[in-house]
Amino acid sequence: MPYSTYKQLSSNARSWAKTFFSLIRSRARRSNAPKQLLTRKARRQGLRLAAGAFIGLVAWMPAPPVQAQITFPSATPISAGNVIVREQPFMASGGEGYQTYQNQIVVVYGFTPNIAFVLDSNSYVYQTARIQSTTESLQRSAMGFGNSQFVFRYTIMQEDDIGSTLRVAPIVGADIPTWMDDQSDKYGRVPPSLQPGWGAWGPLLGNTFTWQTLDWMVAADIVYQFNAAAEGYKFGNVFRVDGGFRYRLWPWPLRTGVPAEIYASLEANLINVAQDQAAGVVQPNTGGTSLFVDPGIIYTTAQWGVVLSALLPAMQQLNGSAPLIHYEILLLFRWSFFTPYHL
Amino acid sequence: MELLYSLSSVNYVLPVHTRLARGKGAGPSVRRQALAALGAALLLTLMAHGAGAQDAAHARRARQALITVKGVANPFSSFGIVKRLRQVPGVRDVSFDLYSGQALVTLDPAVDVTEAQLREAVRNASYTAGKIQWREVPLEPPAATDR
Repeated sequence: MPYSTYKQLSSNARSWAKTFFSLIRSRARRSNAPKQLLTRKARRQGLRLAAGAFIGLVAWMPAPPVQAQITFPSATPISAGNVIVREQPFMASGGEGYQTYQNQIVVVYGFTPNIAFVLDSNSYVYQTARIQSTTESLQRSAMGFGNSQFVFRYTIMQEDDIGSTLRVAPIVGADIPTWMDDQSDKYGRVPPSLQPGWGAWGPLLGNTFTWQTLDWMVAADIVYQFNAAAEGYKFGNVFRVDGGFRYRLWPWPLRTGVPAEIYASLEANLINVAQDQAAGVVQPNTGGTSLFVDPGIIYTTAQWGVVLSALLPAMQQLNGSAPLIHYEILLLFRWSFFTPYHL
Repeated sequence: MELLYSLSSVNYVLPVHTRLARGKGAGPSVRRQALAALGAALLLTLMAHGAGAQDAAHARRARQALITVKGVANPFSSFGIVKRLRQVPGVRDVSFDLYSGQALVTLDPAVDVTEAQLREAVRNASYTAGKIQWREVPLEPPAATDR
């Protein structure tokens, strides 16, 4: 679900830009400053704040999926020395002409039987949206290397039985800024709301739960993310709760050996984002609550797997007049291999 | 028949050498006894060879450990348990049955692999080892699998 926030970003950014433009223009009139200069200043501030809002929404992104879940981290096992690489391209569409095509690369490493490290990198980000300025509406776009996220997971509870496991694993991590926020298109420098990267750190902590059997799996997580201020703008903190269920469709019944398997998956993401603050002032058109439902299908073998999932908005209660998100489609490939390096 | 003859002549080996040592002539009876001695030597060689073959047959039997692994619930998880068990020195081959949750580990007869090593490998794979059953089977060439 995290990725759907990208769509909200751009549309929210537009409305926020309008708000700040009008605010700054009114201040300019009161101060009798030169109109042209103030207009440029207003544009810069408006775009910066709008970008900040966009960035804030990007910071909603949850911890990356650790292994089995599609849209949120889980407590599924990973062996010491095991490396799992996930490549997950996805696209999203929303109001105000917003579209994004992105590719995430997630590397999961089992450091010990209980400790796993996760590095999630947005290796490619392309975003486009209609950006409303004071005089016109332009379709702007930008591409580049997006932000990354690092997560540490520690399994504190493990109940194993033949063909089943129940695990609880808290996570701690942070968004790592890449500061790739100066891309340009034919109209000049792209508003920060569409830049692939941003400059704010976002520490997070949470807890994951997984109950897995030969036939089905239930997983859930709860994550709280703090968003640091960048250039005087602080994005709203994020609280999210996710749940997922998957059921084996094939082979049925299960035969001996280690067969490939196909699962049907259904996940849900409930996300609440607090309102942003600009110079300590709460921004009225930011934050809100969304619920997404994500049907998907999983094909997995012992060493690789592929997943296809759609992220559909079931409920969106956003503050202000932010356009709604339409849909997201996510494709996921994963490979597993071993290294001799572990504890 | 030659073998039977040699067998019956074993007791004559010493007397032959005794007579030769006494300097007596090598008459027809002596040649007969010498042949008997050669036959006895051949018999002993064949018996020794037979005993060696029995030992080799015994050596070609390998130990196997059938490990009940708890916690593996899908194919993607089974990869970890197989790889970690294969990394134990002395393990020739590993197969895993997801349905029964059992790993069959074939061991090199020349290496003493302990139960503690196998349990540690299962633990490093992030799973729990249950009962381990040991058995011996005829040794087969190691499977051509990557480690």
